[in-house]
Amino acid sequence: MEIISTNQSKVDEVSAGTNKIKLNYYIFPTILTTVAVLLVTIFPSVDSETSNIPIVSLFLGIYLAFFLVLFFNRGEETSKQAISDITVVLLFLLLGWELATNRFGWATGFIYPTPEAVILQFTQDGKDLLDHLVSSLGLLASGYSLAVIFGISLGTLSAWYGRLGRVMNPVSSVLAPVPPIILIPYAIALLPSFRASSIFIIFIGAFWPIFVATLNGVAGIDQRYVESARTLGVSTFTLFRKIIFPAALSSIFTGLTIGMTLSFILLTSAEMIGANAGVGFYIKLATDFGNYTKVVTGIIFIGIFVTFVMILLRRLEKHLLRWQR
Amino acid sequence: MSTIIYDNVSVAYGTKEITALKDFNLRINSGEIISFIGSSGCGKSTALNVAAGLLNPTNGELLVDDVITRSPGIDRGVVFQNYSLFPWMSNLDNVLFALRQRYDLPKKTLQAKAADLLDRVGITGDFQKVYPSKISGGMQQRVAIARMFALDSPIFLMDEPFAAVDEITRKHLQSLLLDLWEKEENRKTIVMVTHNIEEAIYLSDRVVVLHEGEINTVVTIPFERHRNRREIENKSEYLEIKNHLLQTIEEKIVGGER
Repeated sequence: MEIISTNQSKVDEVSAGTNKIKLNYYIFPTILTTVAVLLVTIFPSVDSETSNIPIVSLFLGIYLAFFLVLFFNRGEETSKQAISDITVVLLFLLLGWELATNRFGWATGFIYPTPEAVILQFTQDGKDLLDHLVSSLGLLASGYSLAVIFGISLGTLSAWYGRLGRVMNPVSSVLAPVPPIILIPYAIALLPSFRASSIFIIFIGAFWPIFVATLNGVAGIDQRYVESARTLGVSTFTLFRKIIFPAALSSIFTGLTIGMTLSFILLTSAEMIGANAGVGFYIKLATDFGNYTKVVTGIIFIGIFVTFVMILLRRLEKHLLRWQR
Repeated sequence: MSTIIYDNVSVAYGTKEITALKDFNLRINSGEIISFIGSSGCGKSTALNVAAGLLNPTNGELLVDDVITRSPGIDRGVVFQNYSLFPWMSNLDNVLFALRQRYDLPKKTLQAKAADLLDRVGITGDFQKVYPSKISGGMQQRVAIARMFALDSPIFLMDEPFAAVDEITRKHLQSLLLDLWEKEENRKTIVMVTHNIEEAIYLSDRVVVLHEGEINTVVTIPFERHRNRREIENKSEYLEIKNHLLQTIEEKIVGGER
């Protein structure tokens, strides 16, 4: 009988490893959380009225989240190590911020909000922020999905049909490098509503990376797969759907990721220029009123949300490209 | 009926200075196994690609069942050295994909048929559900053979199908192919490219030696079916044929380098 690849034994080793808790991943986050809680207990707040409960809850909350994520993580050793390290960095930054603004008084005044103030702002503005997010998401989803549909289909066709490719190649090399941010004011003036112009801007921003990545991906497909499919007598539609698309998918995903990042940048920029709702508008308005607690709250909120979307996108990629592992 | 006729076929690449096939004339009969052998660059793969319809003659015609053919079709199943299977489909789905091109039947029925085909080449149980990259090269070629049989084409074209696997596996796969071929009521016509002389003799009815795009010799293999590898290897004729083929190829290589 033939030799079967040894992946199974590797899988066994890894799963055996996850069954017992390896203490070394827990050591540093535990020490740092303890130190942080001790420090905020020992050193009084600059503003003596501030309670220690929110910041201590935040430290403990992060630690609990870390513990749960690590405990249920079935990934490799390196991914566990990364979870532990990221927690350490996060706790360290938060502790530094807290000590500098609220304990030692190195950075005080309205321009340096304390973590406590931001936590409080989150609890006050939570519903507001969600409403703004829903507004932002509506624009993002419309612009981005249009870019995905047109980027992938035009990219595929341009790579496949030489005549279209010979038109699209020079066009894309002139238009793709134009920074879409400079289009924002003109698009807002040109199009009838802010909604239309921001969807347009997001579409333009995300379209080119997706288009170029798809074009390169499809053009780079190993022709032997295509020949193999042709000998099976497949129709052109099946060829695109079952052979060309999956073969180019890895490359397409690099475009989807770049396109998503650009979409966020463009969306918030557009909202700062011409919107009356959305997370970008929330931050711009707070800046105009000099409310930097709100500004920092908005920035952290966007950061968390973007991370969340990117994780989802990466999960999707891992799932669809699981055959590559 | 499943004959292939090369009618004065020439294939030139690029600016017509490199000629891969020159005035190639050959009739391959229905139910026959033919091997193309020769040194690298002799045109054996080009000849097979013309039969597959992946490459068109610059002169002359290829006829399948007396019909001029210039494109691939499910009347000709092809197995390549590798790259036959699609790595994003499980082994079962690879076979199923071929079946769906051939039959318009419910998915369940075809799935059972695909599983049965894989069982017949010795890919069973969980090995059917994994991706091709998770199994050895020899097992991948078994799946490729199962997929070729799934198409149920009257003609099989194989481009060095066993070149990337080890010696023992190669012999297993050769016997497997012959077994499956002999069990068919209407025996397939098989055209195979190989650089392995023993493989060519064991499998073929005729061995075609190519050199610089032309037919050098055609050797008829006299051993009867069903063939027993040990028995034929002990025959004096076997050694004669083997030496003859070896000499023909070597002479040409030495001649070509002069």
